[in-house]
Amino acid sequence: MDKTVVLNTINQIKDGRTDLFKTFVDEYSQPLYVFVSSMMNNAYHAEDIVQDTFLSAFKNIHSYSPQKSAFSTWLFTIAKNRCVNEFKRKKPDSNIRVSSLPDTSNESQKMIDINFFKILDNALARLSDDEKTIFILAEIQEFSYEEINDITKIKVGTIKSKLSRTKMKLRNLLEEKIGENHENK
Amino acid sequence: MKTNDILKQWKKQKLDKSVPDDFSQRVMEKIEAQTQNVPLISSNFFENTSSKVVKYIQAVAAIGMSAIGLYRATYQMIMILTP
Repeated sequence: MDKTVVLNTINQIKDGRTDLFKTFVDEYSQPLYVFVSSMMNNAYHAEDIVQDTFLSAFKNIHSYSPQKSAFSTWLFTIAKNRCVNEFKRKKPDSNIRVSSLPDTSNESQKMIDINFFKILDNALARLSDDEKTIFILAEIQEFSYEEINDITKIKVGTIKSKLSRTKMKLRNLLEEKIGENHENK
Repeated sequence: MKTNDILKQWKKQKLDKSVPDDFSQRVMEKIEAQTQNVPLISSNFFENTSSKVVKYIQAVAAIGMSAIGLYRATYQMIMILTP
């Protein structure tokens, strides 16, 4: 969304055109939902958190400073903080336990994919808050290191090293599981 | 199936997740309610409230148990001390 359009819309909202906030909800619901649902591993909670993010953004729109960050990264910062608070309150859903893969001789390829996806979801849920946030923003939503720095306030160098470690961790885990799957055949 | 393909597909299925059709409308309804100071109830409300109710019941039960214990101890003391 163009910066001038964003600022114009924000000014109009501040002047009482609250209905214009829908422009932001329409624009950012989807990326925020992808981010939060990946963070929480729970669609129901994700919906609630994204709603709360918008409510909080609306309530605090007067404190948004375009000089400090882009509106989108400001929204993602709110969403990230909400997720972290939720983690503190209770652990995210990591109850998907796939100790071993089923005998795939009679299973469709789709079933194999789903099992691998579950393994990766489970591994993602076990990462630290920072590792998880960085991985989702960089690898799934393809944010730049600078944007991730804006959202998380983590130094770019640290972002790079944490991302590289996480990618390695997930790749190794997956290779291990693929190996087990071949051995079981 | 190779690791890269699985990772690629896993990321893709995450990106494919979408919000319900009426999501924007629901958010705007909540925002309008907020501007009119209508109290909002989120799904967390029930979770928080139910845990508070459980804690309250536990506290009441603990006080109740202590009260019974105190009563018994006092009664026994009176029985011992009474000639």
